[in-house]
Amino acid sequence: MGLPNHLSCDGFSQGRKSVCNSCARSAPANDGVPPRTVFWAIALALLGFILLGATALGQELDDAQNLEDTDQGQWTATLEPAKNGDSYGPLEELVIRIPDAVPFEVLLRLGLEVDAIDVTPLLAFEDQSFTYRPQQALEPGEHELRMIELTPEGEIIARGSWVLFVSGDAAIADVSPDVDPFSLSATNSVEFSQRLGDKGFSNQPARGQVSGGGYADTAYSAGRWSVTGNANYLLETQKDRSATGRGFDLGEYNFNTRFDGEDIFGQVALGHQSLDIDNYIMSNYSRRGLSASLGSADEMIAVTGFSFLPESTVGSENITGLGDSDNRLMGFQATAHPVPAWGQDFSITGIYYSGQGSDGGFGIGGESVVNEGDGWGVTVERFLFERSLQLTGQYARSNFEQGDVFVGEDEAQGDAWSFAAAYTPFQSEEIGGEYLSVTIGGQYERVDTFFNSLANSSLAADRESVLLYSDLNWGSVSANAQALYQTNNVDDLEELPTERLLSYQFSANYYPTIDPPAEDETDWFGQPFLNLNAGTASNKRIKTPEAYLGTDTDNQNYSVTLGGGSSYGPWGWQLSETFSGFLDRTNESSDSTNYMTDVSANWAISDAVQINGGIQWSRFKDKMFDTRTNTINLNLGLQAEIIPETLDTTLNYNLNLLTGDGDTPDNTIANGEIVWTILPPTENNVGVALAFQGLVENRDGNSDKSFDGTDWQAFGLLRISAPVSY
Amino acid sequence: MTIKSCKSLIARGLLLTAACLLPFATPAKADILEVTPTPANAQVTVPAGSTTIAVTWRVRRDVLSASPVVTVRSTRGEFLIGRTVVATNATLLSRVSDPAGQIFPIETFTETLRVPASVAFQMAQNPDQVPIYRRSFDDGFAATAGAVRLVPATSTASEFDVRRLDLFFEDRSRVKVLPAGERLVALADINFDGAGIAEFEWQIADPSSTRGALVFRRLQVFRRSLAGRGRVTLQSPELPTSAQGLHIVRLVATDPELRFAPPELKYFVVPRKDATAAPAGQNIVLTGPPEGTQLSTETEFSWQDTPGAAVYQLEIYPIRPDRPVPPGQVQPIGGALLIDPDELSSRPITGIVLPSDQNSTSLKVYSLAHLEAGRPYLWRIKAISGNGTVIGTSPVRRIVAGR
Repeated sequence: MGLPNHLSCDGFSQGRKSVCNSCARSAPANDGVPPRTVFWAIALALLGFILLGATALGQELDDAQNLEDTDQGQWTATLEPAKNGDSYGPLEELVIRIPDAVPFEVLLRLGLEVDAIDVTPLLAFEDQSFTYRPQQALEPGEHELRMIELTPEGEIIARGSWVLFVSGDAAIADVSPDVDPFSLSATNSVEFSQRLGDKGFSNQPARGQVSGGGYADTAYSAGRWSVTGNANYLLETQKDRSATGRGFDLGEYNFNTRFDGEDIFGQVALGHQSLDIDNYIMSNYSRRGLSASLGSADEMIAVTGFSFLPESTVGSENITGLGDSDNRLMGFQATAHPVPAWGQDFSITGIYYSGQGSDGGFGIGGESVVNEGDGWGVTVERFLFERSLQLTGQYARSNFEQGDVFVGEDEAQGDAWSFAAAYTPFQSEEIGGEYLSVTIGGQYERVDTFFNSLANSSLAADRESVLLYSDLNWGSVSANAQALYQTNNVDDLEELPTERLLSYQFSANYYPTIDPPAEDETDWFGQPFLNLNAGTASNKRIKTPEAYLGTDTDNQNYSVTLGGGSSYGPWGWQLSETFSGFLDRTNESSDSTNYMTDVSANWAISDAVQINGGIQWSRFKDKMFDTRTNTINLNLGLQAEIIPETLDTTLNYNLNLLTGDGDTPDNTIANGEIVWTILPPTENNVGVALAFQGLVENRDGNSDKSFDGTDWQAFGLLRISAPVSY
Repeated sequence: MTIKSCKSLIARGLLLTAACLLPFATPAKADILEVTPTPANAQVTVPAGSTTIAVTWRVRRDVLSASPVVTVRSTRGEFLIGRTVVATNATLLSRVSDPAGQIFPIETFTETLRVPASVAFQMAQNPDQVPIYRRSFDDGFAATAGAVRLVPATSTASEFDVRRLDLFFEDRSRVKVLPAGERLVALADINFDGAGIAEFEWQIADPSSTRGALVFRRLQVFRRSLAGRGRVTLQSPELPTSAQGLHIVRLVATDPELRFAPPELKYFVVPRKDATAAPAGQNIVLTGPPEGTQLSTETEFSWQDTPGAAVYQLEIYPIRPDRPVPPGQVQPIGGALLIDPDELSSRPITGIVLPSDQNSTSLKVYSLAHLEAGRPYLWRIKAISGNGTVIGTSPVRRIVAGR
């Protein structure tokens, strides 16, 4: 019984169609080898050919024997070749042939995995073959396919294991002609509202308002190319409520074009985007602009160039983020795994940027300063001992100008560097009947006093620190502990004092498993959890300049939180108690303590009614002025579907009390809406609904009645929505 | 006539002359004797950008006439390093001064100003030159200046203050339009100086106020002990997405009070539509297992139906082996996990695909074999439509691989 050449385990199947995992790949040809070596190579090849031929013959005999001994589990499944003969299409059906003699009860024990995802529930069986059709297109490249038999004894037997190569070629993609390569999904909603009545509130806008919003997602794929895009917009006739001061304006958007070739990939993205970059120069940076990436398909090397608007922005102004040369940040990052033998276990990343502009913008509060600077950095990462040890080194240098400088150097320069090691000595070791995993690590870090990057504005500079930590997972317990020693005035400026920070943090979580939940009078208790967070941080002056006129530093923070809760089916609750304290031994500021109790719960009473609530109770004491402040914040919520798919309501209630010293009027806010859906929005069909919304605010000044008052406003509105899908 | 008598005559003559000229002179005369700032020394944070300081100026005048009502003003403040003006503050301080019978009336002016980061930088660069903030007050006749000595201080030693507040949603966007019921959480990156216990409020304006008078209600009030690295990330509770329309969310620091307008994020909730056209949002409601459950073949994963789904995919991901949360960073307590959006960008380590008529499942032994016993993982559910589009995802939960 012969197998198709490109699918068999005969050792010659080196094409990209599919490769049996057990097959050895042939070594690449080596140019310029001596004649003697060539002779021995040919001789060995001949010998190998003879041996392989014998093996193949033996395999055929074995196959025949296996079919006779299926009850003993000696059989293998075979994967049908690709329809186009070369590579599989992204949505091409995968057909796995089972030998005829395999008993029916064995078929019921078979499972199929694609890239370790169990797809068995979607398998169809016909003509002694299992067929799997991917619901989502498989990405171009290699994919692993595995057929498993799970015996009644719980033993796992591999009945076939293959590596597929999926091509992104258009012709191959067309193997599944019923899938449209273009998709569009959009939703638009416009609300026409009329204020029906109000009392007390000042600064009311015009009674009639129009408000709306919408978004669109689109995707297109053609062979190795794919394009995706998304955008949203807001419509507000009250321009001061809009995001940009315009009645109708774009919000955020992104367009992405990607090419996945056999050897390389490329990508261009325009609009709002976050690059996967995290170092001293750029971290968590999400801005509007343009980026382009190019790399090898196996991602052993990749380069990304970028140009962003440094200021956070929304709207259609400067729509590309590239329109203002005085407000632009440009640069590139390159990552390589330069040692083939180490593969992904060794990487070098370099980054460079240069730019100027504001570091503020939409969603950012604080002083917005126009800055100018450039910087570069290098990160080296190495994994050792089966990735149980991770070593990371990082260096960066910045040059930075903050506004106009008239005295001395006009540019601040700074370095930042760190070295970190993380070691996992225990990885799923069984101790005391539970599995234990432990990671310990340390990091030395130094960030100069004037290190500053426009692409990492919230980085805290001026610190030299040593951090030690450990992570532990043992059964249902997880814990983390860390200790930090840090000093500032890294540049050793003579007029600047130096302080040290000593910090200890500990956190632990306990998730006991009640398995299965007992169906008795205690099952309502559900799955509980407990957690503890504790920490202290002390700052102390360790070096004071001569004749220093500033204040001294000697203070300590401490905080402990103990929490717990439980969830079970439709309901859950949690409770936490936090004690925080601040002690200033210099008496420059006040010592204070705070107790905070936080309780919340949610309950899905039925499919139609859900309620939730929470209360925070804070007791704050200022010791210097001997004042006490109690704050209570209560929130209750209700969502109910009164008539299914026709009439529903949402109600919120908020009570805020501030008592003790600094007493302020109690404040109560209740708001909600009731919505009558006349026409539910469905795909490509307009939805229409009428709604009534209202808000009531009550103030109670207690002894001072001048604060008392109740304000309210009520609105009627017509809501039209239009979902579009293609 | 003695010399003394002559001097007396001359003096009397001069006084008489002055008295005769008085009607022709300016009707009111005054002079500023002294300008005293409080505090005399103000700490300026050197490496961490600009610093806000509050200064009270006491201006003492000497009144020479009976009705010396004048306007006392200072047109600008100046930052000097040594004798060089390195920055100015154009805020005008002005007041009509009526002595009301006092010979040496005192006018008080209070201003809150930001010391630019460039000034702090030059202070540090030039330790031999005295840095000051100076204002000159003028009553129209004479001008006198006063100065506050600027003292360099580290961020740790500075007054407890929130310096920068960066708000964003979990996917780092700042404006969202999303279907009703979708999970939404905001995050705040905060830079602060000094140390202490800060009080914050997450506030929300619902559509019932954004279309009329704006009223913020408090979603959460909490205090947080802040110290150390000068940076903390705070997470909001789940934001309301049941009511449709415009919402505005913000984080307000009430102690110490923000010295700038709190930034805001805006999101607009649209009706949920037929899910075949719905976007990929975190709109699948999980019903089990709870957070942190120990995984076994008995563990049942369950979720609520998503209309329009053709298949559901349960995905299990490894937790990225990052170093732990640094001191002062966000510490999720029992609630939703704070997941880096990039955490789930790679391929899942294992999982299962199910037809849409199934909304619960357990994993087989061979799927669990991909996991390392005792290690924590993340899991979620995806809903996929007939054309392969992801039309919904669930929130992410943590699970611990069992035996």
